[in-house]
Amino acid sequence: MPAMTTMTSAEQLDLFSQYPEDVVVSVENCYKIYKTNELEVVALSGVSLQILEGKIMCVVGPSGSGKTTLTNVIGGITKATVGKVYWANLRSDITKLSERVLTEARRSFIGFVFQINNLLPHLNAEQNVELAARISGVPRQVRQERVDRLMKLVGLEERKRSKATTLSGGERARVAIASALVNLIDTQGKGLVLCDEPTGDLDPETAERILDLFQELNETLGTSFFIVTHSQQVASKADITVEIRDGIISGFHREGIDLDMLDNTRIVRLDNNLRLPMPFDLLQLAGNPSEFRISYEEGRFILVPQKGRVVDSIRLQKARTCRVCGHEIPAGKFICPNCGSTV
Amino acid sequence: MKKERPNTYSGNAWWAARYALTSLRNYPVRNAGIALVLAIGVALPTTVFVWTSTGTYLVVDDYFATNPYQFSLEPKIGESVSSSDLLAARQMADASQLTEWSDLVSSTLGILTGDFFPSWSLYSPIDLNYALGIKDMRVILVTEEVLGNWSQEFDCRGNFSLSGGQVLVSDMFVGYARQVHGVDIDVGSVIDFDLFGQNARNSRGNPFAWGRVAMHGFTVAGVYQVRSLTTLISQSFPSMSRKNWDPMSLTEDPVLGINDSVMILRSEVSEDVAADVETRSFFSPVCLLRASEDALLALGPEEIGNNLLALKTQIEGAYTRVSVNGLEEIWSMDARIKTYLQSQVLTVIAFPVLIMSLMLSVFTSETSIARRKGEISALRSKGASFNQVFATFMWESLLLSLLGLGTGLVFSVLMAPLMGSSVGLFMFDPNEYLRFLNRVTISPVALAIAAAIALYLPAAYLLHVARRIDVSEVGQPTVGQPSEEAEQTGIWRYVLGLTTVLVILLLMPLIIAPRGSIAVLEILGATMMLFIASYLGSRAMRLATGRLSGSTAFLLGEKSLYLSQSLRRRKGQFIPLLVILTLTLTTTTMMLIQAGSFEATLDNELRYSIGCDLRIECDQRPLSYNRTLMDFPGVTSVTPVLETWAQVGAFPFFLEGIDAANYARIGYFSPDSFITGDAQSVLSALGAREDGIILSEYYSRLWNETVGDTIAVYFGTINATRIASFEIVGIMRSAPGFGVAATYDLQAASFASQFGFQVGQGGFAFVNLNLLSSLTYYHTSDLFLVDTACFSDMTLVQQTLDSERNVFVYSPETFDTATSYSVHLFLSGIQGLTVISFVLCGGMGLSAIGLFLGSAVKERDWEYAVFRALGGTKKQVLSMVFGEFAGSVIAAMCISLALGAAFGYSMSLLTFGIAPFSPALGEILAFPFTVMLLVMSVDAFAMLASCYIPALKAGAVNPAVVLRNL
Repeated sequence: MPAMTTMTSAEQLDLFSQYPEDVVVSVENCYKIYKTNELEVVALSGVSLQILEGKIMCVVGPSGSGKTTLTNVIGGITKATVGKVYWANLRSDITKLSERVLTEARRSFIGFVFQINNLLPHLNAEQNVELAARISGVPRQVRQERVDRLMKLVGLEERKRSKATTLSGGERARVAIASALVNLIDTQGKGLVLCDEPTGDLDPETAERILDLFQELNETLGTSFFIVTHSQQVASKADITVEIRDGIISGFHREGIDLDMLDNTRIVRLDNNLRLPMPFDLLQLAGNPSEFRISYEEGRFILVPQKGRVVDSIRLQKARTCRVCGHEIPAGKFICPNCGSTV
Repeated sequence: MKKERPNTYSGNAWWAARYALTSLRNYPVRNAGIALVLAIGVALPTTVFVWTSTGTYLVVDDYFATNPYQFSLEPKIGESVSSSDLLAARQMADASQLTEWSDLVSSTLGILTGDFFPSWSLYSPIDLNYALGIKDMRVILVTEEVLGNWSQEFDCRGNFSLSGGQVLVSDMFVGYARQVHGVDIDVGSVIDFDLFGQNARNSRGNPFAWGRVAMHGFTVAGVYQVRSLTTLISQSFPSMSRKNWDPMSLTEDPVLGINDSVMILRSEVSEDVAADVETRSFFSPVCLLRASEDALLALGPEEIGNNLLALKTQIEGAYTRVSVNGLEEIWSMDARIKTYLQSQVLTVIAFPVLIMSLMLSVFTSETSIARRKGEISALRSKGASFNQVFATFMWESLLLSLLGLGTGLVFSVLMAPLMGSSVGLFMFDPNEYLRFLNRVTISPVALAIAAAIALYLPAAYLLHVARRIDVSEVGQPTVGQPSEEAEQTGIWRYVLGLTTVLVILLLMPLIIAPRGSIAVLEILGATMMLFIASYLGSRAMRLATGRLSGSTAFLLGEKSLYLSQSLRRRKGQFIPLLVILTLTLTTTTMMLIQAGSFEATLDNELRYSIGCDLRIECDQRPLSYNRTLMDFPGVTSVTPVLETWAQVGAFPFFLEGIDAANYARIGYFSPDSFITGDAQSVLSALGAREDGIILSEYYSRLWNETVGDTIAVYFGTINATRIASFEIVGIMRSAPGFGVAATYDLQAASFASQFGFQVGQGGFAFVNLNLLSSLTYYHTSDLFLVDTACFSDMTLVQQTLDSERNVFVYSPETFDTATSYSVHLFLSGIQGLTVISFVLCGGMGLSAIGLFLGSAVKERDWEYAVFRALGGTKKQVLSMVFGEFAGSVIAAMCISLALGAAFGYSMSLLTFGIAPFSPALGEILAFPFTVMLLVMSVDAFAMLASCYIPALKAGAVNPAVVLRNL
C-alpha cells in the first residue's frame, strides 16, 4: 500500500534526522557473529562510529580484531547481525535493505581499494577504471569523461593502455583508487572509499605518494576515506584513528598519532549501554586485573585494580558438624567421614 | 522534511552478456576445450540417431528409386472398367496426399501383319495361332511420361522412347515372330500390325468383330526385355500359357504378356480407338500408382508401410470390384527401417563417453569458476550485483552450450556416415560414406537430444556451478593460487575398492542373465562402475607412480625428488585428469573388445549355421545325387537331408532325415550341441537304431520324455499324414546346419535365421534318412551337406556347382554376411561406433590434457620461475615437467589396459543382451590384441605429444616477469 510505504520512509528519515549533515556513514552498536558449523565467532561486538564527510578515518588493530569485517559491514557487503548502519545517500539503515537496493545504492556511494588491488589481469588500466562505471550503466560519454579525468588525477594518462599485469605496484594502486572513485566523482563529497591495507605491499616512498594522492583527492573531491592499516605512515595522515581489538573499539585518536605510543593519545568512549572498553596495553601493564575499585575525585575517575575477585570472597564455605556422631564434616563435603551419614 | 531521491545506479542490464563475450575471448583455450568436450557429448548419441534416420531415408530412397510404382488398380476378374468403377477409384487414389501420380495404361491384342505374311480372317487368343501363321501380341498404348517412368525396369537395345511412327518391341516378340514368319525384327525394322479396338464376342471373331485398326509402317525404335518378372509393371501385364504349335504338346509357352508385346504411343491411334481400347478391349487397363515419397516421409518413415496399407485398404473398401495389387516390396523396406530403429539401442554402448564428456565439461567449468574467485570479488567490489555476476556466468555457459551444440551437430553429420559406411574395424567404404553424407538427415528426435545435452551445461551452472560463485567477500586476489601440500594417503584402500568393483563387474553378467531391458540396466550399472573403477584406479596409480618415482632416483636423478612429491599434489587437477584419461583409454579398449567379440561370435554362428564345409541347396534332386557329389575330387562325405513336417500333440516341428554316420563326420559340432553325449556317440546311437529320434531339449522337458522313451509322431508323407513311433536316442540343444533345436529357446532372432539357415516352426528332430524316406515316400531332397578334404577341394566343388541352375552352394569361408541386412547393420553400427568413440575419446583425452595441464602450468608458473631463478635451464624445466605429465599419462595407460580388459569382457556379454539376435552357441569373447596395441599406441603417442606442449610453456616461463607479479 503506497500510504504505508510513505509512512515507513518518513519514519526512517525521522529516525536518522539526529545525524548531522556531514555524517557519511554511521555505525550504531553493531554486532557481527559468524556461524561456522557448531562454532560461533563474534567478529564485531557493539561497534559504534561515525565517518564524517571529507575526512580520512584509519582503523588499526591486530590481525583478527574485526577490521575487515567492519569494512565489509560499512560497505554493505556483509550485514551486521545486530545493530544499524546508516548511509547518508539513502538516509536509512542499510541492514534492512534488500540486496538489490543495497547494490544499486553502493555503486554511487562506496568504492573499494585493496592491498591486492583487485585489477582484472586481462583488462588494461583504463578498462579497469571504466569497469565499475560500465557495470553501473553509466552512459558512455559520461563514463569516458570520468575515466579521462581520473586518469589525469592519478597521473596515469601515459599508461592507460597498459595491461594490469605490466603496471608497477604504485601504478596498480593508482588504477585501483581511480577505479574506486569512478562512480563517486560526481557525488559532491557524499562518497566513501573503503581501503584495506592500500599501501601494504608498497615501498615507503611509493606509499607516501599514494597517501599524498589520497589527501589530494580528499581535498579536491571531498571524498571520505576509511582506511584499514597497520602502517604508521598511513595512520599519521588520518584525521581520526580508530583502535579495534577483539571486535570492540578500544579507543579513538586524533590526528598525528604514533602507533607505538597509543596509550598517550587514546580517548575511550562509553558505548550505548554505558560500558567503557579498557585498553589492552594498559590492562597488561597492570597485570590483567579483572576488577577495579572506581571513584571520582576532583574531576577524575580513579580505577584501582583489585586483588582476588569479589565473588571469591563471598564463596567461602563453612565446615559443618555431623548430627549423628558429632564429628566435623569438611567444607564442601556432604558425607560424614566418620560415620558415613549423609547431610 | 523534504524527501530526497537517493542517487543510485540501477545497473547495466546488458553488461553481463558483454562481459561474458569478453571473458570467452580472453580464455580461448579453456572455453574451446569446454565447448569441444560438450560437443563430443552432444555428438555421440546424436550420431547414432543421425545414422539411423539417414539410413532410414536411404532405404526409403532406394525403395522409391527401384520401384517406380507402389500399387496397381485393375478391375477384378469378370469386371469391366465401368462395372468396377476403376476410373473413380483412380480419382480417389489421386486425391490422396500419399499419391504422387498415377498412370492409366491400356493394352489390347494385336496381330503382326505384312505383305508376305498370310492374312487372317478368324482369330482367338487361345487358338494354335502360331501354327496358323498368326503372330499375335499385346499392344500397349503408352505415353512418353510412362516410358520415362518405366525405363529403369527394362533393358533395351536401341532407344526406350517413342516418337510418331515408332514402335518398341519385346525381345520375346521378336523371337516368336522369327519362329512364326521367319523374319528378323530389330532396331530400324519397319513393321505393320493390326490393333484390336474391342473384344470380340466370346473372344473369337473376324477382323470386324475385333474392331481391327490397321497400323502401317512403324519403325522399331528399340527391342526391350523386362529385367524382373516380379515387379509391379511385369505383374500388371501378365502372360498367358498357351500351346502355340502342337495341340498334343505337354508344354505351353508364355504369350501376350509384357514379354510378348509391342508399345506404341497412345497418340498413334484416334481418341475413339484409344477410348475403345481402354474400355472394351480384351485386356483391362491398369492404373499404376506412384506414392509420394515426401508425403510418406513427412508422416514418419517407420509408418510408410502402414500408411500405404491404409490407403490400399481404403480403396479396396470403397471399390470392392477393383483389385489393388502391390506392396510386396514395401515390407522388406519396412523390415530394414525397423532394423535401423532397433539399432538405436546402440546408443547405450556410447553412454560412458557421453557421461564422461558431461562430467568433464562441468568439472572444467567448476574448476574455472573456483579459480575466478578473485575476478568475482573484483567485480563485486566494483558494484556488480549477485545477479549480474550470476548472469555473466549463465551467459558464458549459454554461449558455450550453443557453440558445443553447433560443433556437436557438425561432428554428428560427419561421423554418422562413418557408421553407415563401416565395412570392418577402421575400414570404410568411401562411396557409401559420400552417399550417406549427401543424404544426412537430422531427425527432430536427434535435435531434441542434442539440444537437451547441450542445455546440460547451463542447467548445471544454474543448479550447481553458480552456487560456487562466492560473492560474500571482496578483496580476493585475482591472480595466483595457494600452493597445495603433497597428499599423504595410503594406496591400499583404493586397491581394495577397485578390486571389489571389478569382482562385482565380472560376476554381474554371470549372476543376472543380461536380456533386453535387464541388459540395458546392467550396461548402465557397468557404466557407473567404470567411472568408480577409473577414479579408484587413477588414485591408486597416481600414488604408485609417485612412489615409483621416489624409489628410482638412480634413474631419474634429481627429478625424482620433484616428481615423487608433485605426483601426490594437486589432486584437484590431476585426479580428474587421470580419471578422464583412464576413462577414455578404458572405453576405447572396451569398445574394441566389444566389436571384436561381436564379430567373432558372428563368425562362429555363421560357421555353425552353415554347419559343414559345403551346404548345397538346390531344386528337388534324387537322394542318389549324393553319389554325384561324392564323385567330385576331395569330397569325403555327403548326406542328403530329407525334411517333412511333424507334430506331437499340438506342438509342431520338422523331422530331419539324415545319414547319421556321415552327418557325424560332416557337421561342425559344438560340445554344447547334444546334451546326452558327444556328437559321435549320440549320432552313432541314432545310426544303430532305425526308429531312433534325437529330440530337442525343450520338447524333452515339455513332454517329460528322455532317452529310451518312445514317442508317437504325426508327420506328412508325399500324399497323406501318418503316425509312427520313435525311440528317443538323444537330446540336443542345436545342430550345425539346422540351428537351435527348439525355436522356443530363442530369446530373439537367431543368427542362423538371419542367414536363412534356421529351421523354423517349433524346431526339428533328427531321424534316420532311410526310415523317413520309406515312411514318407519322399525320394528327393533339396539340401545336401558335404565334407571335403581341404579348402582347395571345397573351392573346386563350389565353383563347379555355382554354375549350375537352381543350385546354391554356401560355405563359411565365402558366405557374405551382408546378405543379412540386420546382422550387417548391427555389426557395422558397432564397428562404426567403436571407431567414432575412439576418435572422440582421443579428442576428449587431448582436450583434458590441454585444459588441465595448461591451467596447471599457468598456476604453477611461480614454481618454474623459482626453478629458473635457482639456476635451472629451460631444458631442465621442460624435461622435469614433461616427465611429470608423461608419468600421469603412463599411469593412466597402465590402469586402462587392465580395466579395459575387465570392462571389455563384461560389456561384451552385456552388449549381446541388447543385440536383436540370439546366438545358438553362446558368445565368443575376442581380444583383438594387434588392433588394441595399435590403437593404444596411437593414443599414447598423441597424449604424450600433447603433454609436451604445456611442458614447453613451463620451460618458457620468464622468471623475471612471474616473480615480479607474485
